[in-house]
Amino acid sequence: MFSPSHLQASLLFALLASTVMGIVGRSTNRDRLHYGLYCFGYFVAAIFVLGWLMRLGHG
Amino acid sequence: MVMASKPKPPERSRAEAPRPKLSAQIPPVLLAWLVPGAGHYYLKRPWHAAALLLSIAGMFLAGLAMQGRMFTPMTGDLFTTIMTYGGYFGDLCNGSLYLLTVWFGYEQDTVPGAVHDYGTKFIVCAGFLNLLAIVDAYEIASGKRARA
Repeated sequence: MFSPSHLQASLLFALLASTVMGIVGRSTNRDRLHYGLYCFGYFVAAIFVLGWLMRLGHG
Repeated sequence: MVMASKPKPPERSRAEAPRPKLSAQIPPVLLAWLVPGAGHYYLKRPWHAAALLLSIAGMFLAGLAMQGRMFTPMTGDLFTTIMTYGGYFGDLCNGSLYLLTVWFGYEQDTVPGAVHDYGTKFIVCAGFLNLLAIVDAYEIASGKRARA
């Protein structure tokens, strides 16, 4: 069984989802790359912020 | 002497352009549902098709490797109905990946633990990402999106 940690699973999800969103979200290859990176950056930022919020919330 | 310039023919906007026949739109949509990326391959976008296949099938297989659960539609309270029907719809959007997995007898009970839960979400999200790819294939086939 594949047992990634929370962070690994979240990063894997972010990578795969932002790849698809980049491809279907824009019309030129340059825009696709930018949008994919943009989505991935926001996924990672959300993981970081929510992770710390949960850590601080649990005390 | 001033030469009279030829009047330019009116440019056809995308909305006025003739729409492709329905028979040309159905195959890429069906293919995109059956195999992630196949619709884009049919529409002569092999690199996009490869990236979509790797991403969507990769997410689905990662979900299976984490022993995620397939949803079965159930009725009950509103939350259960929405969750199970929504999850089942997401699973179905995986096309042949889902059908083959079910036909080969994959079954997973609800197991406590975060990893199994991640697996379930990975499988459903792979289906919803494939839904995005299906819509994209439809837009390309119907001429609503410019080819690039």
